[in-house]
Amino acid sequence: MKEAQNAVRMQFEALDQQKQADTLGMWIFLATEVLFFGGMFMAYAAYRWFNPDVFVLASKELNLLAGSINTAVLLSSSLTMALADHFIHAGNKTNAQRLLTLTISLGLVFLLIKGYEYHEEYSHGLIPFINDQFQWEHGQADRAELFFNLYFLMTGMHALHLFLGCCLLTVMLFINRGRRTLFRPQMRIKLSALYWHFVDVVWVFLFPLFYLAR
Amino acid sequence: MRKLLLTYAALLALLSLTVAASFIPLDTWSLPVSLGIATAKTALIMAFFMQLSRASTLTRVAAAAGFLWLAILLSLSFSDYAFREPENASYHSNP
Repeated sequence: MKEAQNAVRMQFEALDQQKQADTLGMWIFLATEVLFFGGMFMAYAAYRWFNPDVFVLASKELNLLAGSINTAVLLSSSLTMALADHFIHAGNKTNAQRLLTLTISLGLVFLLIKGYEYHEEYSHGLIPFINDQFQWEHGQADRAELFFNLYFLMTGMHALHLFLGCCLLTVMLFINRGRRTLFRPQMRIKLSALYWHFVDVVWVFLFPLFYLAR
Repeated sequence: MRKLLLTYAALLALLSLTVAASFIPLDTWSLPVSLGIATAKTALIMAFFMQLSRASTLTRVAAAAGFLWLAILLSLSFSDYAFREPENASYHSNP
């Protein structure tokens, strides 16, 4: 019980109040993230509204199989993250640490597949800001460039968020190692899990908008 | 834990459904269907993985706030774009 009291920081009266405040703070941060990605989704919506046919054609150039596998990988990583959260709250640190490692690995698998896709698109000449000559033969090439610029911007920002999520979880792995009491790790894992699931939600929308516009 | 596994199974089922639906020519319905499925997936993730189903009202309001502002951004922008005359719209669609 004394350990529980030590876990309460000075500005809070009780552990429960502190948990509420921590969770609320994380959700407010996630709301700002919704708006950060929201601006890009707005740009996508406007350009697709005015260029529906080109967006459909451009979508067909993406690797649907890799995108679908990546969606499954990310959904699986969300499951292992949720299970890690479940186990650390049940007091089972060993399982929680294993599941955290698995979550990080799945995140890295996602990034590897994404990197493979980027490479494939590079060799097809579809990266407007890297390839010297943008390869497009279906007309309205400047509109197709818009699609690919949005694709690389939005999936790139998502990949950056995922990479930071992997870093965050790695830090959690190491600072949890020596701890015998679980009050602080429990809260940290809960908040990290919220971030991880948020990044998953962003992908859940990126996937149909870019890969399934066919 | 059973709830988490069931959520995961439902998410994978929805993923298969949305990929399968993309092969059916639904024309104008293709986008609403895929976005509808994405919204269902998001609801599952937020309710069970992010534990909003047992969160306090205050937390739920904070979670809804981001989406509310996003809805304002999208609806006010499209209150312009959606009602432009074709000749004005072509300013955007043709170089």
